[in-house]
Amino acid sequence: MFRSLCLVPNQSCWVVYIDAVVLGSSGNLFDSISMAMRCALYDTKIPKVTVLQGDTPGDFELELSEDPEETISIPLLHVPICVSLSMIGEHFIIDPSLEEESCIGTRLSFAVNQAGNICAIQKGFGSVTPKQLKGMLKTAQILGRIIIEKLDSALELESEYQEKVGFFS
Amino acid sequence: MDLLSPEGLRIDGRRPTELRNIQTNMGLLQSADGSAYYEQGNTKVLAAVYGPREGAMRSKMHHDKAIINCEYSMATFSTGERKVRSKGDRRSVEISLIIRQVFESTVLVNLFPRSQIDIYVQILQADGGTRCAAINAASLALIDAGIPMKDFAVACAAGCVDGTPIVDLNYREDSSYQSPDMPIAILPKSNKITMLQMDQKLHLDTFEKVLQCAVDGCHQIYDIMVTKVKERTEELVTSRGVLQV
Repeated sequence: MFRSLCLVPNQSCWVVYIDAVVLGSSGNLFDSISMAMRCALYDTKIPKVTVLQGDTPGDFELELSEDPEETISIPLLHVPICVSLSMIGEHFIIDPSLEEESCIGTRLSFAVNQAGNICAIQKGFGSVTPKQLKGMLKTAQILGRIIIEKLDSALELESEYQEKVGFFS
Repeated sequence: MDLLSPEGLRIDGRRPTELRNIQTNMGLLQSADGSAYYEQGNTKVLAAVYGPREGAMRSKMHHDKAIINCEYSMATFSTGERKVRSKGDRRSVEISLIIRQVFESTVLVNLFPRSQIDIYVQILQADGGTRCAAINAASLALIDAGIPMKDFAVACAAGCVDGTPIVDLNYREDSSYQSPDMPIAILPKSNKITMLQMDQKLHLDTFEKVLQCAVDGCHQIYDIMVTKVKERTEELVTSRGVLQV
């Protein structure tokens, strides 16, 4: 994804700001926010830029396309989503509700991409044994791929549906 | 760019006394006691109400009435340019105070001594008239929470271009030097003004006209809000089987 944001190597590139506002929470915020970010990135359109050679050899000029239809989108192939596994006793669950969250012993969040690579891990409070960790990693990889597939197909369906009727209406 | 064309149309094609398109929705958030989403043109606001509930700070409580806390915040992505705002940002504090004052005089606070009512307003998209939209959204959220009030608090802004009053200013109009910006809030049944502010210069002779324009705008918005509340009540009451339609 990062290479597609580069305009002139070592000189200029696009900066992407991602801001999330939580309107209501009923558990599993990490995963929901990461999925929302993936959807927002899917929807992002970046204007096409032509790089022109300036007067001096190291000088570059950037020309932004005037046409609002001429855009490039961010490739999502390597963009991960977060899959959080929470332990209750000896078992772990995914997508806990608010009540379930108050019962968990440990939470581990894995950032998984479409290829099944683990991009990041973050551990919350509590402890896990190495054997449990291995099991959780495998599950996160499998789940990550499934969730991304379903999310992407839902996004494609959504983009075909033209009529947008206001935010919450 | 002239705010009013020679044909009498504004930059977005509206007539001087025409409001933007309004959409509302109530009861969206499960966690809040009352919530409402309010959209006026491109301005989108979400309000959530909690209360009346036990006061968090004993020292701030009143022995004979409820206190009202209000928090107004704008999302970083709400404006054209991304802007990170801190919580104590002056404009947010001012607008929070204004909203609080409007509802302190509208909500029947004497019914809930030693408690507090919290109003949270989040601006999701700002295109002018955010404080008015915030008040309207908060009114609907308070109604959704079932908190008794004297009347709806309805807000609308007006300005004037070359002596012609215009209602419901969008961002380009209210930030323009060509028109003053006067947001007001009223209690529609009694026509009492609960909020009145004004930016820039306005001649005293035109003041009455502009004020009347804003009041008329408020009444139009009031009609829309009342219809929405009645619809919602009918929905709720039918779904509980109280009323057979």
